[in-house]
Amino acid sequence: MKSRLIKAVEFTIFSLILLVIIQTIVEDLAVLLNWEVSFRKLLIVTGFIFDLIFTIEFLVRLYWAIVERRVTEYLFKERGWIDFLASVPLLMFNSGPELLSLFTGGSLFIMFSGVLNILKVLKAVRIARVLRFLRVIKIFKNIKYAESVMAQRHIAKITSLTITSIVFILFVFSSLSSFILIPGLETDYIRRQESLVRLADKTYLASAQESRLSSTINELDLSLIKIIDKNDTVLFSRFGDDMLDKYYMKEDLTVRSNSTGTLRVIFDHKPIGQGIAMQNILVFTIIIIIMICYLFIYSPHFALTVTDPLHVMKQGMENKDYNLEVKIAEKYKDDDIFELAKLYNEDYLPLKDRELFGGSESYSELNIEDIEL
Amino acid sequence: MEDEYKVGSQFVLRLLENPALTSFSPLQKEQHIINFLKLNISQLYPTLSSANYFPGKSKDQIFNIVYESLKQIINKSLFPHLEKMINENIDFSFISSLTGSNGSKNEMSVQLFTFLQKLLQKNTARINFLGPLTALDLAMSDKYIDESFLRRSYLHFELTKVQKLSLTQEEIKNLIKLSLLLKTSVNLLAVEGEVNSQEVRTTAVQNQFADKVFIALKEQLTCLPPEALKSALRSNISFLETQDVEATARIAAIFAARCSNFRPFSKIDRGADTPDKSWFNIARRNYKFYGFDSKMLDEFYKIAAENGW
Repeated sequence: MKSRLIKAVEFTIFSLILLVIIQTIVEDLAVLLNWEVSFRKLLIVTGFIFDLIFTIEFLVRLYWAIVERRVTEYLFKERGWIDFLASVPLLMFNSGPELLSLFTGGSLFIMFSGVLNILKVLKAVRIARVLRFLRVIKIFKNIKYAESVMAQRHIAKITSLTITSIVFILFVFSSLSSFILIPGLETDYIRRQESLVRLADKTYLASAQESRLSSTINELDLSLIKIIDKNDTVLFSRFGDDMLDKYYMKEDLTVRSNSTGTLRVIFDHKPIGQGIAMQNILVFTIIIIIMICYLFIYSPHFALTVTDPLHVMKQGMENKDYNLEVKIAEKYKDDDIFELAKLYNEDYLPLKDRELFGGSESYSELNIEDIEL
Repeated sequence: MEDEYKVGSQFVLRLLENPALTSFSPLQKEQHIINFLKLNISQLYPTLSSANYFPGKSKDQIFNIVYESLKQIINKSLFPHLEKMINENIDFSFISSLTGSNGSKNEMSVQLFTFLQKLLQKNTARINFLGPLTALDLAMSDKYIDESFLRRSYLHFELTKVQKLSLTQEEIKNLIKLSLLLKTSVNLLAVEGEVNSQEVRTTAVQNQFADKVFIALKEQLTCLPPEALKSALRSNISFLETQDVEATARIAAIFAARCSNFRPFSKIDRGADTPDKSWFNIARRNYKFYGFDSKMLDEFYKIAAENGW
């Protein structure tokens, strides 16, 4: 009954890990492919739910580790640090604030006037979503060739090192670009927006006629979406409000004012978000490919050349009637482990055989501990 | 006395139900239980000498009661199996090719079965019978002799040119089966006592002793030809000491040894070699110790490797 419950919980966690990875990728695909706001909002909510579930899972495991006085063992030996990194920071700095922003109508983003800077900070935090991929390490044990504890530890170590290195590098670069103005696409974007605000201001001053303003502005830049004057009169709008509501979230828009504050110009900065989403998908793809390589290429290789021969030798040394030799592949025969296996095959097993079946030693599969009298 | 055997049977039945023994044949189970008793009798004695079991009995007496109970239980499945094997798995028609005379097959099988039933009352014979019986169950001779005839190498040469058997492939296989079945008859003259496991695997019997047993055996198995009886008895002689041991006897010795510690692997571990290949390779290194024909072991090893056995 207990094992069935454990299996059910493990299956649920396994499914959640796969789902959260899909969700993480789809979240960026939704930005990249310009999906409707309603769907993107749903993804924000699901992302929050996943992070909340994993945070609760981490806290429960941590609680039991504290109760059983094995916190260090849980955090390091059982890889509790992965549970932590892939849950709490994401809930606090990514999905939590995103959900909050959703319920406050995006005011959290508007609150920060330097929109592009907050974007950069968010970008840096969003990179941390890659840490969700670390959870995959926890399902390694369910995969063929990685059953041994040693294999699991090695594969987990190399995978977590790779992912955390990638996340660390991306995080450092993203954070640095928030504080240092690095010339590039984004700075050009800011300059262009500022020029457009000045131009709109001039055009507005030169001609108060709305129609003339529209035709000029319309041709200037497709990222300019709306111009509103100080009386909240819309001087220009590229789309209708329903279109804006359907495809634009608050954080997809940048609001800039002219120097006198008489005009507010709203820009579409989805292309920047799409660039970030593209980068994220690239990072995710790299990580997925690396993990697939580790799991399906490196794991079998590790098993073939390290854990399998060790397992066979261990069996032969533990069980008296186990007499299977280690299979030695020709191309690895000079490896230390196979040189050891050769000694096991050629010296240990024949010696054991002579000792057991040529000597007076006897053995039984029955153990006194297993017998109830 | 009867009550003691009843208690002994109940104890044995409980041991036989142990999941660790599920995959073993009846004789293997018997062997594991005997070894278990031998290894743990001191620890078991306080319980087994209590009022619920065998009060007032010594360790040896308890051991003997349990062993007798065990033999009776095992015999219930062993003897029908043996009878079926003699009647269905061995074709005695090769005897007419070997001797030129036509004997009654039914008479041969009845005489053989009766003899084996009697022989297997001896503890030594029972222990030594495990390997040959398992080899017959696993059809070792069918597998390997068929392959050796395809290869027409050392084994084939030894059987047809050195031993000069003018038998068909099938007849040779049946001669080896009969040699296996009667290999244990070397214990015919054995006095009951403690059995050293070395006797089980090594070809430690001297030529003169085999000749002595042969005379006694010939009197009991009058329907079977002397060639077959000699092949069976001489499978207990070291090939290194007696170079003229028949090829069929050498093959029977190897097959019986191969199967004396046969472990049924439900799944071979990844990274491990196959069971037969592993065993023959170990045997190749220990051939002097057991007195096997190393060239035969080489060929069996190659056959096992090529066939993934």
